[in-house]
Amino acid sequence: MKGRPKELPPMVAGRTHRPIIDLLRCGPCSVCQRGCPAEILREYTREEESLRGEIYRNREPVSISPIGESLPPAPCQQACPLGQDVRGYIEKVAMGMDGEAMAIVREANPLPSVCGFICSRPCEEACLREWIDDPLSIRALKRFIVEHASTKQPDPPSVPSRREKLISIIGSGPAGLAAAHDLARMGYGVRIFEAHSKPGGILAMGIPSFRLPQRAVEGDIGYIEAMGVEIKTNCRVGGRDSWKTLLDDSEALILAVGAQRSLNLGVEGEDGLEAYFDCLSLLREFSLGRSVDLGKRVVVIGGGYAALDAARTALRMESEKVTILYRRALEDMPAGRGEVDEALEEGVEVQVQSLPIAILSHRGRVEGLRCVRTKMGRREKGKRRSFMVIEGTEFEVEADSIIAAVGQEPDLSWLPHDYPLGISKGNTITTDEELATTREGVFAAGDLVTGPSSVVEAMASGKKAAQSVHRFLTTRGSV
Amino acid sequence: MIFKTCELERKKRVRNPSLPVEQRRRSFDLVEEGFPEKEAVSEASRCLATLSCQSCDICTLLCPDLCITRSDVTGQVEIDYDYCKGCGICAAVCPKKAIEMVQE
Repeated sequence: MKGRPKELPPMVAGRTHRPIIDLLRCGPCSVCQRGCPAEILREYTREEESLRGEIYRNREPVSISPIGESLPPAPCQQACPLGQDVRGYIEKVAMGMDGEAMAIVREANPLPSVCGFICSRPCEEACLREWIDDPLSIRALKRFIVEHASTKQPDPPSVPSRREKLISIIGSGPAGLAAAHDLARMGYGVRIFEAHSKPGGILAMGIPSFRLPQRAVEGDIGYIEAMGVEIKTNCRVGGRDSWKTLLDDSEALILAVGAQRSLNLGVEGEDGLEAYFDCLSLLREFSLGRSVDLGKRVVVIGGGYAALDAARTALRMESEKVTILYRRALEDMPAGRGEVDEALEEGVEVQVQSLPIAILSHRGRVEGLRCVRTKMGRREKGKRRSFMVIEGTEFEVEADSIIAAVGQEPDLSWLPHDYPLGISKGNTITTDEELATTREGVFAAGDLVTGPSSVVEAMASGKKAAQSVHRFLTTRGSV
Repeated sequence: MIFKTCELERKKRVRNPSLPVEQRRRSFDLVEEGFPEKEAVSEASRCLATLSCQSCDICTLLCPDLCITRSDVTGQVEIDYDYCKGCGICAAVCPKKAIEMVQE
C-alpha cells in the first residue's frame, strides 16, 4: 500500500465497490452500520495489519449479497434459535442503559431469566470475537440485564383483544410457555394445562437449583401470567372425555408435553433392579426436595446436561464418589463445556470412551457395571462422531447405584390409542413445517416434535407454533 | 478534534465469578454468581458492535481537506492536524459519535 494517490486514500487494496452514503436520504436507523463492516466486505480479509483482518484472514469470505437483498444479521443473532438481537442489547449494556437492554431482550425472548442462567448459548460459539481473544460472555450479560433492569409489569397488549378466542396448551415447559407468551401478546386468551403441581416442566422439576434458581423460573412465569395466561396445575389431560371437551372448548390446541420418558440402556440384566434409576425421575424427586439413597459410589451413564446435573446432584447428597461413564470422547459430550468443567472442578470423575455392556447385580441389587473401551471414528460434518468397540478391553466398575441418562423420548401414554395423530420415529408427533399435526387445529411444539433438544430450541419451537396458530385462526374464516 | 479508539485491543473475556468448590459440594446454592455492574459494562464493551470506531471510513471519504487517513502500519485512522481546519463534518457524520470536537 505504498505510494498512495493524492486524491482519496484507498481504504483497502483490491476494492471493487465503494459504498457512498447519501446523507440527505439516510435516516438514523444505523442498520447498515450494525450489519457492517467485516462480515460482508471481503476486502477486510486483506487488511493484514489490523485485528479486524485477523478475524477474517483464515476464513472463507461471505459472498456479497446483490444490491437490494437484505444483509444477514450478525453471526450471534443467526446462531440464536430465537433470533435475538444480541448486538442490540449488548450495546445497551455497554452504554449503561439496562432498561432499554431489557426491552430488546423481552422482544424476542419469553423466558429471559431462565435463559440468563441455563441457555446452551449457541451465540457464544458464533461470536466473532473468538478470532481475536475470547467470545463474549453473552449469557452472563443477559443474566446481568435481567437482574439489574427494574422488574416491570408487562404492558397491556397493543393489539385488539381476541380473548374470546381461547387456545389451550398442554404442558407448561419451555415450549408451552413460549407459545403462551407469544399468543397472549397477540391478544389471544390462553390456558395451559400442567399435570404437576408446579408450572415450568423441566425448568421447575428437573434442572437443579445450583444451575437454575427457582426465583428465575417463578419470575418468568409470573410475567407470563400477568399477561393474562391462565395456568391450571395438577391437571392431567388424558382419556377420551377430557380430550374431547378440550377440543370443543378451544379454537386451537398446542401439544407441548416434552420428551419425558428416559430411555433404557439396553444392556443385559437391567430390568427390575434396585438402586438403578432413570435420570429424569431422579432429578424430579430431587427438585421436589425428596431424598433418595444413592449409596457411596454412584455411576452416571451419559454425557448430556441431564447426566451432568444428576452427577453433580449426587455429589451434593451423601455420595463419596461419582463417576460419569461416556461412550465418546470428552469433547463430544452434548453438554456445554462450561458445565463439564464445573462438574470436573467439583470432583465428578469422568471416564470417557467407556461403553457399558452389562449391569452386575447381586440378589436384585446393583453392584457394578461391565464396560468396554471404545475408539473414536473420524469427524464428519453435521454428524456425531462414530465410535467402535475395542475387543478384549472389558473392565468392571463398582457401583452402589446407577443412573441412566442416555436419552429421552416423548411419553404418549395419555393419547387415546385410536386417536388420529401421526407418530414418527422416536415416539415423536408428526407435523408439517408449520408444526400442524395431522389433525386440523391441533399443533405440536418442542421436544414432542424434535425429540430431546435444548431449552432455547424448545422455546423457539413454541414461538413458531404460536405463529402457526395465529395464521390458522386468522386465515380460517376468510377462506 | 479527538479521535476515540479506532481499532480493537486484545482483552480476555470476563467470566462470572463462581462459588468456591468446597462450598458447592455442601449446598445446592447457585454455582455461578452474577456480574457486578462495572464488569458487565466492561465485558459488553468487548462486543465488536459496540466499539467506538467501526472503521467505516465515512470520515475519510467526506473530509474536505483529505486529512483523515488510515495508517499503513497500524490500520488506525489518523487525522493530520496540520491540514485540518476544524469544519466538524467528520464528527457530524460519524455514526458512532466516535469523533468529538474540542475547543483549542
